[in-house]
Amino acid sequence: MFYTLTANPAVDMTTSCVGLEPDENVRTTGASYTANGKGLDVSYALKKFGIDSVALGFFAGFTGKFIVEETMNLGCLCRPVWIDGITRINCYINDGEHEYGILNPGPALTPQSEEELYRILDTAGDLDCLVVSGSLPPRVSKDFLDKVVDHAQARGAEVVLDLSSSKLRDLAHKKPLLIKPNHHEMAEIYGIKIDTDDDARRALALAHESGVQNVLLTMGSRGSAYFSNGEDIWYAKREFNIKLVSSVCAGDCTLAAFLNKWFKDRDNVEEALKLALATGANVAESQGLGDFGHVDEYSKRIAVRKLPRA
Amino acid sequence: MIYTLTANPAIDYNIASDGLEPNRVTRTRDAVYTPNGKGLNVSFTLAHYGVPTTILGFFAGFSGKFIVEGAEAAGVPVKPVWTEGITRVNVFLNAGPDTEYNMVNAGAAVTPDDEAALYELLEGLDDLTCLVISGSLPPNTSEDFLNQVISRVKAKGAEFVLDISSPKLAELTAEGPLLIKPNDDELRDIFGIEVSGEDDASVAAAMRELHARGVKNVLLTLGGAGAYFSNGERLWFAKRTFEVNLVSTVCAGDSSLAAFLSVWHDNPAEVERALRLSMATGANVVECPGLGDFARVEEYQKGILVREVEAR
Repeated sequence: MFYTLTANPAVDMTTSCVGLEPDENVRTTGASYTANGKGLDVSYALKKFGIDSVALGFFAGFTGKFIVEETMNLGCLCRPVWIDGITRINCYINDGEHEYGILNPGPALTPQSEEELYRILDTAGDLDCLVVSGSLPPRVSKDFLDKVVDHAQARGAEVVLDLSSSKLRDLAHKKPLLIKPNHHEMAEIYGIKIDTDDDARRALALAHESGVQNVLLTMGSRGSAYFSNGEDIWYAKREFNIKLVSSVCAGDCTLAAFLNKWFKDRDNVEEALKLALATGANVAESQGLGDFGHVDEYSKRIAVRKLPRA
Repeated sequence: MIYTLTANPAIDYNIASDGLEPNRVTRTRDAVYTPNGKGLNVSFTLAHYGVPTTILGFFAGFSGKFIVEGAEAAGVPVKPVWTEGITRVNVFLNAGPDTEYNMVNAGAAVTPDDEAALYELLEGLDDLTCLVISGSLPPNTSEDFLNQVISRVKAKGAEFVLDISSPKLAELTAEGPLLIKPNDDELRDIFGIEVSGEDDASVAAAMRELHARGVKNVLLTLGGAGAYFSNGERLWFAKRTFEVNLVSTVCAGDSSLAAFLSVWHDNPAEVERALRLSMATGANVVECPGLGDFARVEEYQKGILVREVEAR
């Protein structure tokens, strides 16, 4: 069973207004409130492919309760660690001209709540793969992610990391099964700006050297990705344009789609990449996750080629 | 029993940041979430003064549940009408010295069925003596919603109090409210009446006009400049003689009204005591974010000057 970890979930509140001015009553309209978190997105996307997973994370107060309920309503399993305070609300407001993102750090963790999460991992009998995504809450212990990886690996489970560049750099030596950086993060970690296949080849080689088993390197709005298993490198690119609505959840869903195909069938990289890019493209055309309605059609229009071995 | 109606409740979400720039992420800190609604504040303040009330209103989703559970945890029962959607979250971002962004949402829309559910609820309230109607109305509210509410209240032989800023207040005075609580801005915007706190004659004339429209009693608040109360026969003026450390005026009007009602509703002759408690409560509440703890009300009452206005 896949488990996902969202250490710092949020309720996203999206509204619009006409002109955002200080010291006035700004009337906002059309508010939508959605459960958000990168690990949660992975769980939701897996569910859309018919794959069950267990969402783990720290949740607090009425907003935390909302996210847990929404997660279960979507048919995902959830084992929350309840903490004090109130899970954050992130506000996105569009004033007709600009978009403002107003993000809160979220409620603070205690060592006790971290211990509770480790205990959940220690007793998760069906844990095959833990996907760790997103940011960390305030006052998290320095070695929290190290320990999370240790506890999962002690159960014989694989670990997938979708984290900021500095955390990926710190955890590479733990030999994660897969990391999913984008080209910006890859450049930050390994110091190589990726424009050509050769750039990618060199950066991916460095990633493997640092301990990572497999890398799914996404190229953001270029609509392409590299995958490297340490022996071979594949390049995939979509052959169509999309109408970008929001790229917020696209990366998470790309990862979920890739895992859905590849985790149990590691030789089927080509199909996994097609589904991953098709899903990312469809999600980028939607507010939130969307309905995956074009994924099948889009998969047929993803070109995949294996790079010649160096 | 007094009931309060908050048709469009909210959660107030207060956060702070250093500036607010478009098209990039603004990191915030110090998040505080407060259940808000003018009728809710009236109920909470009345509860503090030992007057039991029940909260009525439209509530929706996880945020509505938070408010209802919070009120009940505070010891005030709620008879919610649950509606579709999500009760609004209003965002108050303090982005630096003297730079506050107030993002007030319209709220979850109501349907004719929701309104009917509220009417039915009112019709079943056999202990209703007075309904305090406060605040704004949610999107899609019927034009005659408040008229319908008031007709149910009157059918039960109960009184009603209005604390609303909408132009509708002018029309509803004809329904004979027990009490209205406008401030000077609302008097000007809704009734076109100008008053000045230093000028008793202008206030006396305003009160005569409001009574002629059908209002039984008026509590006219003038912010820091004091308050007048008129029962149609006599007129009083109350004022504090001390300075306050202003933090937030958000809940002050609601708590002043509630404090006044806590004395006056059962003892209409005790206007002076009611005004003293009302002004002291308002003064203490403006010194706190939210309602605060009413800790200085006792002390502040000694600094409230009340006089009856003789010249009619």
